[in-house]
Amino acid sequence: MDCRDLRETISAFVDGEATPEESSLAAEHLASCAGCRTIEARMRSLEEGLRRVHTEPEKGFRESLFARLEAEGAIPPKKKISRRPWRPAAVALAAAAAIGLFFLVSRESVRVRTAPGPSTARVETPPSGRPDPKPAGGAPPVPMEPLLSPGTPTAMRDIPESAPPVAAPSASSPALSPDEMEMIALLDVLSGPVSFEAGEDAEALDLLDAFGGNGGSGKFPSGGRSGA
Amino acid sequence: MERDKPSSKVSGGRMRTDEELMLLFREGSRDAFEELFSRHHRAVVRFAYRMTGNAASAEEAAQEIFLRIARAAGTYRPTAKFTTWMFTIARHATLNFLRDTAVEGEEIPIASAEDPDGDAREIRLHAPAEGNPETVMWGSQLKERFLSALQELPEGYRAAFVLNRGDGFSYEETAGILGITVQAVKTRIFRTREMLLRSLSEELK
Repeated sequence: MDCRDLRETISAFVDGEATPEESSLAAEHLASCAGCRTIEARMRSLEEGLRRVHTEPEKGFRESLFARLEAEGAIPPKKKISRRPWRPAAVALAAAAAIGLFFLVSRESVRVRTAPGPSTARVETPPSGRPDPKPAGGAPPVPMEPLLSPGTPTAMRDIPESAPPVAAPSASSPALSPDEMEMIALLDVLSGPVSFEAGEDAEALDLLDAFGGNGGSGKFPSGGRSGA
Repeated sequence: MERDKPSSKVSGGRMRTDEELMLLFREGSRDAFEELFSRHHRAVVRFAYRMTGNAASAEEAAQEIFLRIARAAGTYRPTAKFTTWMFTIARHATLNFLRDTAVEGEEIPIASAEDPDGDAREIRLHAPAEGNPETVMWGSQLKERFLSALQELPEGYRAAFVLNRGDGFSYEETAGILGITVQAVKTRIFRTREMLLRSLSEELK
């Protein structure tokens, strides 16, 4: 067979794509033809030349490509990192504060509910001449009044700040009705270690004000306990 | 909506295949596309460089290739190897790029499937009387000459040679990418070798 006719087969043989028959034919010819062996070697050397023809993408290739892809909407946008990294912490803090407030209000509500009359009365007679913590426009302590005798001031709040403290009536005082006796017993209980501290009382009433639970003033935040 | 970030590996340590990543991308995973890009962008740029003969043009063409891949994701079907599909897109993109950037009046010779010989001139190789081609040293100058000689080839011949000898596609895969017969690929590669050896005959002496 002519060398020229075999060159295409030799090319496929170099590429490993010749059939078994073609491979045998090419190998047999190459073994006996120096010219075709040289051509075969040059064919192989071209591959080395091709391997050397390469380039690396420039820096920024990826960025510019992905910018184009995003601009076209061809790929989903990259997830953005939050510009407000404090936000999760703030949300957690707010949630914790809300939970804390809820428990505080719940606890104080239970205490107030346990002894409604005396608690109110006690708050309204601040010790050592402190300003009256009653909120402006607050409702009078209605529950107290039916329990008091006609000789007792109708509302403790009517007592001026400069007036001396009113002596608490005792069970041994004369001319006390059974209702008054019961009231005194309740006051005695509240004057013990279980009673609220003055400051704590004020805070509790602040909270009740805030949630509209004290006399129905219902403003939040009240801020109304500092004056009057 | 973007799905959870797909690792390039699945449970058990097996790498996700290109086809799996492409399907994930089709379903909306940007990370899958980024992984595909990481795996193949060098090969795509290299292919475009060999086809266009210029680094800047190669990058421009490579960007177009990835844009086309992203746009065509909806039509992707994993019936063929992803790389075969990708290089089919790459070949069309580079061909369009060459046409778009050709000087007015200049023709880009492309051999058709019906006429695999196309514009290729028949070149008769003559065995050299002396010299040892096996010890040819490919210096930077020869590399430039090689790149230049590649650009003188008809596009269809260059593509067949680059895909088979440069990117490792078999004759059959190359035929699939180019849309021609295996025999046409065989002929194109042989003719390409003839033309390159003739162009570089001075350098290879």
